[in-house]
Amino acid sequence: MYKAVIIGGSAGSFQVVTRILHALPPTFPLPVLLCLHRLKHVRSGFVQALSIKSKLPVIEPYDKEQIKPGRAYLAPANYHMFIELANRFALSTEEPMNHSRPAIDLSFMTAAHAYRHKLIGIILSGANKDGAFGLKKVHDHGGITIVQDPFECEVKTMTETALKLTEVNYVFKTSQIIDFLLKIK
Amino acid sequence: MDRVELGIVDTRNIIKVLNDVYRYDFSNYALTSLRRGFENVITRASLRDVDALIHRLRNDETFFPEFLSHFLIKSTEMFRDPSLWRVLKNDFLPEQLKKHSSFKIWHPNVIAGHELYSLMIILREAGLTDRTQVFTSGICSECIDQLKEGTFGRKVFEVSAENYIRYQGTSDFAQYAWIEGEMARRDHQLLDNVQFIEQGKMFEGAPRNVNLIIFRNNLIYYNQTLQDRVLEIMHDSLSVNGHLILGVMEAITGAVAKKFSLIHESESIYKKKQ
Repeated sequence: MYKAVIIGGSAGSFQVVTRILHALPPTFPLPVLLCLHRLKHVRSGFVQALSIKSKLPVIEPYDKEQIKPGRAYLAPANYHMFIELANRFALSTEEPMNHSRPAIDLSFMTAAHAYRHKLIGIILSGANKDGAFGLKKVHDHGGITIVQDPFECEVKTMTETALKLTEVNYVFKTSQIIDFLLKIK
Repeated sequence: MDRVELGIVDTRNIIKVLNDVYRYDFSNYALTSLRRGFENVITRASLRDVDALIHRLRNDETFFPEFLSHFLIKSTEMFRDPSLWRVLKNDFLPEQLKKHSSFKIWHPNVIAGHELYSLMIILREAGLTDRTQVFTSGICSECIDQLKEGTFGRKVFEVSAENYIRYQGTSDFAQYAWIEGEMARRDHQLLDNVQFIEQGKMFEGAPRNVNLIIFRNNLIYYNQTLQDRVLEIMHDSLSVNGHLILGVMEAITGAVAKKFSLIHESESIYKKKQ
């Protein structure tokens, strides 16, 4: 019934994402969309680092690339990653938002617009407020909202800001996020 | 975040007025960016809502240049993807100039001029300014006036200065651009050898026999239909064995793909097939 999982994170989220990608089976029925803050001038290396433990192929999508289940897509450096209605990515060089390009808010907002109530949005550890507004949009469209337990986060700012803005469905530790995702059929 | 959020119907209504009044066809633009571009116009032109924008477009044609300058994305920076500019200066251009006595470069859809200034700097540093002809064109006259004048944002200046170091320029970035009060300014004499040419709505009047087209991060704002159409135009404009540079995450797909070969994967440099 769901169409996609979208995950946003910044400082302290790398290990969490790695654990999630390691736990999801290659047959995972949804696409996993990752919008993680990253250095804008470092284009390569991140996908490779995430791929080491991932059972899903990790891909930086080209503009207008089709979104397919069972793959993890990482927002490329120095582009915003939008989700279009036709189940494709669209990239943008629009100005940074929350000092970030890619901005988590923009990926979440456009995914919420495209997938409505069939989206699962997850905000992880991070040091700025990016993602909070986007997660609210997921909630407003009827999607499932999950925030990593701030007590488990290396940096709490991102999750705490998200929790202030939205009455989320779940506050989960990493292991609970994984359990939740593994139950998705 | 207090910006207007447009729905599909709003977006279609704006597309319609732009087509009715100005004969500009935005129907094949990528939808999300198009919608956000329209939202930006409403915010930046201090309009109340979508109806105010439509009313203004329908009744005040003098507003159109301002519309374009708010709508178009102009927020990249100089020397974006520093390694591309290094490859151009150290390898690609010197090799090409061995084969050609004159070398025509076209930079279509100029907006903020960051790529244009970067190009002129690398040509100067490679000592190739006199051996190349640079043409540029765009649809936004206000943008062109501003880039010729030379001022740009401070934040963009800072990122550009960092990029210049990563590109490994042979000079000091301060020689080309500097802070001036709240803004930054570029040496507009860098553009002395640039020929600004007219650009039609669908690139009518494109120069012919062009050796190199620099067209990065434009296709991302088009849907597949318009991407194909524009790539055909670029193909026609290129000389035999001419090259096209796209943004690093742009790819040529669809029917036109067979007319180009990718010769430099990480920097997205394509060559026209004969």
